[in-house]
Amino acid sequence: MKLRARQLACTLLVSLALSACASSPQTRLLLDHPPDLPPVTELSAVPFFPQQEYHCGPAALAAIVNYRGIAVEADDIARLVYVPELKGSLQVEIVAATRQFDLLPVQLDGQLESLLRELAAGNPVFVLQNLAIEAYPVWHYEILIGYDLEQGHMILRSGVDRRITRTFALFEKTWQRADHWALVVVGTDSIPATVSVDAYLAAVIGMEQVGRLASAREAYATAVQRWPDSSLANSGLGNSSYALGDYGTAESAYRAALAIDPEKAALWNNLAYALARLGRREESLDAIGHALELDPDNAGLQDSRRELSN
Amino acid sequence: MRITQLIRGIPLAIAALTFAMPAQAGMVSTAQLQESLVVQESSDMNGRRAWIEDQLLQGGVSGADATARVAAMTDAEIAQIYQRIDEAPAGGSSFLLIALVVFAVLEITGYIDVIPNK
Repeated sequence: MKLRARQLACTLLVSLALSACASSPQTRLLLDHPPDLPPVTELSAVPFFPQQEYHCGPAALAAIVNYRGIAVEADDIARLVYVPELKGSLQVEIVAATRQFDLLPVQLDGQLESLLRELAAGNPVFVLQNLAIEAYPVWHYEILIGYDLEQGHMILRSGVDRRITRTFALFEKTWQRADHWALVVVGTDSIPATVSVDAYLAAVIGMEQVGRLASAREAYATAVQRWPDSSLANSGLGNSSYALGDYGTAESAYRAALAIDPEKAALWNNLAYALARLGRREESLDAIGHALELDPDNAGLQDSRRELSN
Repeated sequence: MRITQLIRGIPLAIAALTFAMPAQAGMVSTAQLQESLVVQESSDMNGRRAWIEDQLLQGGVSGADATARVAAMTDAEIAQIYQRIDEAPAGGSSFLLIALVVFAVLEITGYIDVIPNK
């Protein structure tokens, strides 16, 4: 057994030697061209929940949720994410559990520099790591709480360790083996420092889809403030307002979206429904008529017209 | 890992290609407006949810918790793990003894970081 293991190690070391040059490409870039950020950042206020065996997911999420001002224990989170047989927690469930606290789980873009920018902006980053190799993955959730550009390392809360450091180069390798998975968790009134409108809205749409409508609406309003030219942000504000029975706000949000994207038949459809709810039947029929002018063969729109004409 | 990810992307890509407004009256959801997030209309979401709930139960999650957990997932998330729970990374930081020797060598060379408390 020992021999076989050694042989395996040798094989791996050969392939390691071959790929060594390209193994931490982002780290090299980062150190060659340091970003315009404070040289050192550490978010010491991020609480620490030492993990019980295999419970790195619940422990890390508990720390993040508490950091956002919601008191919760790791055991409560384990009920939302932990799968005993897997001895771990799925990424999808981490994301889903975050929404249960009316917090937005926003995916980052996989850039090392984005992690630093989020930290500098005061946002701890939830990361997945594969601490071992692809053939023998050792998955581990951790929280990035800081970095040191001079020392060239990340600062993390990890497992049973309140504070560890890991060099950028090593961090990049273990992170890359987990497909650069990184989440920033924020309240519905704020937007992480580095995310695109699409990434932010994807998180808000998730909130809306699972029926946390008031939170979704708040987040859409936050998005509209930041990205007033986003048709989708305005549409989401319209849809969530409609679902909450606030048809007046829905109408104005749909009109804002249509000012950006006047050819989108589906938006005229939704506007027609909002107007119908407001008792403005004629305007409603005009709107659905307009939708059908744009997309005459659409069966859904034809059905909408029938329903709104009744 | 990369192949798995590729496979994972396929259903969503197909869904994006086959996107059409629902052939029924009513509001168009925000997810439908953002076409890339739409899961194929024809796919049996209830069946998929039931399958995942069953997997969670088999995985040792209690009945009420499993139901609530599946309800907390979006259709896109369901599609992401449907029939792939076993392949998906489950962060838990476990150790395989057999790999320890290999790990020790890789650790020393700065390629991995599995050995705690350095």
